[in-house]
Amino acid sequence: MVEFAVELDGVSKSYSNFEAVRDIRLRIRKGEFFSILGPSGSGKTTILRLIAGLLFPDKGSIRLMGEEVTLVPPYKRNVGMVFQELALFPHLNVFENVAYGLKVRKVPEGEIRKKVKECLEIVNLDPETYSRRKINQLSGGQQQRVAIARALAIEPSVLLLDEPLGSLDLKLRQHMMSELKRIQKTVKTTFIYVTHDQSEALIMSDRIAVINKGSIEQIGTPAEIYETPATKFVAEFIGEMNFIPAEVYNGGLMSEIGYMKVSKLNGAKRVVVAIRPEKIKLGCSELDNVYNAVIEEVAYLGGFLSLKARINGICLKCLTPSDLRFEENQKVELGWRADDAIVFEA
Amino acid sequence: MKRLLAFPSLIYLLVFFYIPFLIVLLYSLDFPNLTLKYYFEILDSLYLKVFINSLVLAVVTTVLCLVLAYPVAYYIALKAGKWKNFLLILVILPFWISFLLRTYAIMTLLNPLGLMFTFTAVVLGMVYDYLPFMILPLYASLERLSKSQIEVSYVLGAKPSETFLRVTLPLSKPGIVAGIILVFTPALGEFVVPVMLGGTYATIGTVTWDLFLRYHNWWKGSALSMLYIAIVLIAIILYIRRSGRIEL
Amino acid sequence: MIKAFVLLIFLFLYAPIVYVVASSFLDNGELTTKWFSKLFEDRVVINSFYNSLSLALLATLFSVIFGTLAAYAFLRTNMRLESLFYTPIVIPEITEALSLLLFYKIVSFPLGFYSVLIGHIAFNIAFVFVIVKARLSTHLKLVEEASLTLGANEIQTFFRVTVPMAMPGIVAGSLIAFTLSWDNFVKTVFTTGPGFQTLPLLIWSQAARGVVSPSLNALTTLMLLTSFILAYLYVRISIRRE
Repeated sequence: MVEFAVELDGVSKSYSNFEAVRDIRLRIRKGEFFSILGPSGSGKTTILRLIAGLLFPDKGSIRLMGEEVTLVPPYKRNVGMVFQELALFPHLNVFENVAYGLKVRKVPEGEIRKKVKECLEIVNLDPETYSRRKINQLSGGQQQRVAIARALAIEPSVLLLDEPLGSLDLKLRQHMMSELKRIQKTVKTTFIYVTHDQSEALIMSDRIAVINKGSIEQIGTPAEIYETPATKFVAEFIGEMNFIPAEVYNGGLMSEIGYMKVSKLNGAKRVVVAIRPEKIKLGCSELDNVYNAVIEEVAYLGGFLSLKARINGICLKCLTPSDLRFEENQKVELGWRADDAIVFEA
Repeated sequence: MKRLLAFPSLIYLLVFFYIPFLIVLLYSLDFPNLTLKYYFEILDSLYLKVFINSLVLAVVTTVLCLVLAYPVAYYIALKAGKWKNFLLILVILPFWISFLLRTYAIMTLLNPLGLMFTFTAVVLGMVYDYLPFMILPLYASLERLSKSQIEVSYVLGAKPSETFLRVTLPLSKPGIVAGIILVFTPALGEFVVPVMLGGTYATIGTVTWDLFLRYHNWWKGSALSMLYIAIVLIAIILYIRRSGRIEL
Repeated sequence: MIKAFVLLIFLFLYAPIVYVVASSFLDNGELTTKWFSKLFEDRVVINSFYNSLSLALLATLFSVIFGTLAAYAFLRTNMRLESLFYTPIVIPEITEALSLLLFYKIVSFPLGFYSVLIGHIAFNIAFVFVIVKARLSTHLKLVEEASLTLGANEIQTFFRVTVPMAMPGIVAGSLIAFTLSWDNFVKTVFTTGPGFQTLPLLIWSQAARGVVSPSLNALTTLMLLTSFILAYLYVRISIRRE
């Protein structure tokens, strides 16, 4: 019994003049909802296309369900892929789209009909109503569902999703997120989901790989990625973050705002300290680090207040429950625990 | 691999389009002597008259087409409502009929009116043939102009006439330029219409025709058509420079 | 006011066409089809019709094959060579026609059916290329990839996805290529030789001297009808695509 659905070992891929991905090492467990998260141009789609066999790596090896597939063409891999642009067949109707992979596999007609019906039901499209519809008669959300059903029909060993929600509006996107999660729980297939949207990745994934400039920065659960970012890039890319440049001084750090206690140093002399806005406590003096600040901006967000507070030349974003009241130009004490500050090399 | 599929076409065009074109160029330069004597020959007063004839005809045609086409394009693009597609088809339909047939059609009308073999007949025929070429690009540029751009102008206090001069007209300029090029450059070399409706009205087109098919003077004919091509290319390059691309 | 003007312009555009068609059915104010039956008895007309038809069909066949392959090759690969396909559209027809004539004279190619056909194909390739390329979905490559991931190999993908998706463009390109050849006059007249006459040449040989005759009206009506049918088909498939 193999444990991993997808294994990438030292995979690199270059285009004529730049390296798209470099030395990628990934182990994706069977049945996992795994996201590859990164800004555009970071190489995440390249990784997906390498797994699908639409690209072949220059170096390294790829295994699917324990089997070596590095140079196997896509049509022999049995991976499902949902494209960003959906890439539905415009000349075929919904039924024919979903049946396509089964037809080329020469599956008997009766079985095809059963399987298509089953897949349309999984994605919540009524087979009766939609089977005969043309693709261009469907809404964006419905086309999305057909694309997923088409990929699921071949019972893929992994389902690759390339930013499939990018073109949908916010409301539909939120709805499709919970739908995707539900579908994944139903079919129990490994999902590999590529996105640049951190909230999509955080909400849906079991694990996330954050990628930047062709390299993996960190792999972990959503909580690990958010709370203990491994690199400055991850800290900045996921969620809001305050950064304060500082230098090592007397067992702690010295910066423009003053002396800072931290729980851990990384050996570098010049560093950057990262603090999440919600970790900054206002009007509280019993913390490891306390400073005098002036409130510059107050924005009311319902349950929370978003504040900008200035300490000397540094402006910090803070998030605080809205039962506390603050006004612009008000002087406050603010601070944080040494444990909540993360230190990166400058 | 896939790129190889382009080669049959490219080779075909090379042999049967680009090489013949090169031959015309060489003939016009009196190859292998490489002189400009045929170009000087066609710059004498006789041919100058032909050039002026062509120029007058092309300018008159272009101006008339522009004046007549603009209201039509404006109406189809912004006012036609449910008739829009139908009217558009009526504009496009003539593109499917060759000049010869359409010129013949207007000839049948001019004949009983006793207008044949006059400058008026030639101009009528030219405008008749080229009008759709002017309407279409004008329509395309006016269509792109949104109703709200015009409404904003009204809201800001501009009267309809001011709105037209300050918003609509400037925004449709790419279409005007495209239309002028599409009409002016072929009209300059037109020969079907002058021959059929004008009798002896000599233009670059009719003279080229005579030089090639009647007098077999390929050298002079080549020089004449190279001059014509030069004018066409200059017009197109000027247009691309201005707009950055070709749009019809 | 503008409405009346637009109406007048369309009247101007269509009155001559209506007039030709109407007079081809009239003889001294009486409805008749005798001009048409006269046409069908005329050997010269029948011969020219046959020439025009075979010319247009063959020119369409070859230009569609060449042009479509090229459009497919250039899809998503913006090679500089692509602009070579646009020149034949921009260059005035008369220049192209006379350059072919010179070419034939130099290589001593006999003027007639084949010399005309070769010229028509050259011109049509450019048009087919532009039309097919514009209609080949920019998604084609992606859809082909989707087909590969679903288990269809390259050959299956070509016949199940590429060809059907390119079909609207191929049909549109064929219709335009056929029309361009069917009533082409300028290139034909320059590159034809003795003994090869098409319907447009027939019309020209009489009408160039300002002669209008009922049988010429009938012939023109027939040619217009062909163009209208082709245009109608073209609009039909264009609308269905959207």
